[in-house]
Amino acid sequence: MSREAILASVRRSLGRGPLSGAAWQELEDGLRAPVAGVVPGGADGESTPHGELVARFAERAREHGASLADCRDGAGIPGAIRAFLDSCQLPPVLPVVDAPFMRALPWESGPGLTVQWRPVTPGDLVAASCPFRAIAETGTLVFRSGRESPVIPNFAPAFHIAVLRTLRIVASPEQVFAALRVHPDAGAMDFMPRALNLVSGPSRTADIEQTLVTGAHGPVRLHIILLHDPEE
Amino acid sequence: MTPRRDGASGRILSRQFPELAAAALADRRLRTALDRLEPRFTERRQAATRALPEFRELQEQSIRIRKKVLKNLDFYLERFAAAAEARGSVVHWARTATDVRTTVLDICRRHNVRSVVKSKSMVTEETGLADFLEAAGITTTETDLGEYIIQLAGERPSHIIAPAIHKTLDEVQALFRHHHSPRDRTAGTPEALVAEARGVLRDRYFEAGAGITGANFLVAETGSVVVVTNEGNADLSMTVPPLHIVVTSIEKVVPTLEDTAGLLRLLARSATGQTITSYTSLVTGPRRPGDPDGPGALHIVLLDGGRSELPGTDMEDTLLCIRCGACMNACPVYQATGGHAYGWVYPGPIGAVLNPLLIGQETAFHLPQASTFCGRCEEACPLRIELPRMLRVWRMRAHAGGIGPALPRLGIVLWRCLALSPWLYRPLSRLAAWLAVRAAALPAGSRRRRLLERTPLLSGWLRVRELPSPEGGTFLSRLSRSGAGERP
Repeated sequence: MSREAILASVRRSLGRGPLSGAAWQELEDGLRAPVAGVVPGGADGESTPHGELVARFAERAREHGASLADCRDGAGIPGAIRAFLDSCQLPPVLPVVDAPFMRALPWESGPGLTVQWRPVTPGDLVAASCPFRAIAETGTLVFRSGRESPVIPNFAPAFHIAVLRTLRIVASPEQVFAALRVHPDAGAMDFMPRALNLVSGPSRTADIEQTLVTGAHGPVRLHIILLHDPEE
Repeated sequence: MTPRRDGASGRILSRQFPELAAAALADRRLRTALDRLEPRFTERRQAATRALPEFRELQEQSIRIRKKVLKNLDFYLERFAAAAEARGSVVHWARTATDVRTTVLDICRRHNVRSVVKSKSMVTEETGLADFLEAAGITTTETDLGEYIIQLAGERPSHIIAPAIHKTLDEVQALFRHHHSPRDRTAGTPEALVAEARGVLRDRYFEAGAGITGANFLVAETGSVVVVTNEGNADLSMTVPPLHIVVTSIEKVVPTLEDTAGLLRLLARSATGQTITSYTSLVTGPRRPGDPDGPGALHIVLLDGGRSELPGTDMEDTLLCIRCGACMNACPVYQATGGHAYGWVYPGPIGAVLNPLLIGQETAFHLPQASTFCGRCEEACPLRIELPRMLRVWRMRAHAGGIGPALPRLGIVLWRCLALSPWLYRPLSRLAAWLAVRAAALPAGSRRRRLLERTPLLSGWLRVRELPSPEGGTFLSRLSRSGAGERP
């Protein structure tokens, strides 16, 4: 069988048989207790004040070409979305991912925005969704696939609106992994969702004469609405 | 080791490297494109690595992790496969390129796939997968914009990160005009062309029966496949169609998510000077109950292709490569000739080391020869792979095995005899010095000079160089004249 042939070939090259005993156990333990390595900006970000992480995230996200808007509370979000759609000359209609947080927002009191609770179709120009976390180190949004978080809205439409609560901003990807490992949905060894998508800015290509152009296949515009938590 | 000729795909032109390189040097458009674009890669990489104070530490750490994996490759591959299968992926082990092709075709047939969208993957190039599927009646569309462009042109990628780097704006516009229907036509700026391609390719994602991607890394801890892009084409390819096939090679495995994070930091900076690519996606298995979208089946094809014979050998470090392209951007030979001259899938310094392993040293003989050993590749490499050392190993093997033209080998044998016989070497080098003074005094363009330039073995050298004016005598004769041990 190819599998055995390949493994045997590797072992022959290394001049040994299959690992066993203490050697095997050491590697196995290493997998079960992962260790974070060098993280830019120092340790695990726990010493960095959260306000600074938020500011760093915003700065880096802008560097990647995302646009940002701030909201002081949930009530302002529909208005912020409407403002963005207007600025892009898009009609005030959009599919929104059916997550509890989004459902709870005051859409009706809002500014003439029509929200559709349905899956994104290929023809949709814009969609809104909520990231699981965001990473300050690189200005990255982290989306975790699941019942209330489909993946297609983050990639297919030309305009993507991400509604991000600032308390979900962490310092580094290592902290995202830690969060996944303790997530209530996580099983013992299988805490990874089907898809974990790290999004840093709109879609880009420089394949034509090295000229940077956005909107290659993923979104042309990424708009992040930052919902600041009252504790800040 | 046995050269992997049984699987290697497509036309291999590496034997013609000298001719292809000469043609590339004479190609003004290509030279203009490379001269303009190549330096930017290096500038951006250097800026990005300088901006990260921890870069050196990150490098050391990543080298340690990669070497540990190679020493225990069997363990990590087994753990990866077990974790991936536990989450519902199907893992296939492919010894050769032929195995990859037949496995992927078999998977497509079983799922009644008629069309495929594909994102960039060097392993699919190596195995000639796209052409094979097309020949079997399955339409295959490259979605990476650079790969799409060269697919339309019927060419091979000339660079790992920027496959269409050799194509000008006009050439791209002409290609689109020829292949796209009139209704897709827009003006000829890069922005307009990208928008045009986006529109044309959009339907393909939603119509395709399968998405084929490569993998940048395979995480053993979780059985996850990691794919990075700036365009989002891989993400659409692996989310929209009902079937996702990953075609990759065995050395991509990394122990944990944390190890992967470190390598991703190196990869982005070394490849394009970014801190992170626009999209980094980790997929772990197919759709689960409750998942609103995603492929119903995920198949992972692991190619050996000769790699399993490298751990523990003097070529082991080839497997450290994370395919960032920094070495070729730093290489003066690559900068002058571009990727096509190398004649097969992997260009530049890494290609010069890897191609002989994968397609045989006889076929790829010229590639390790085409180096000045300047060492920029090793310096630029985030994993500090000792490329010049391995090029030298290839040259030694060629010499010992009688591979390549006989005349240079004879020359080396003669030189060796001379160098080991000082009683012969010294008078001969004094004679050579005397001749060199006479030669340098010949006016350029004179009849004697032109005759000299046709000297066998030296003509290539002399035709493009002025001769320095030696002062006469050899170093040793001057030293002995001034008295050994005293200052000359």
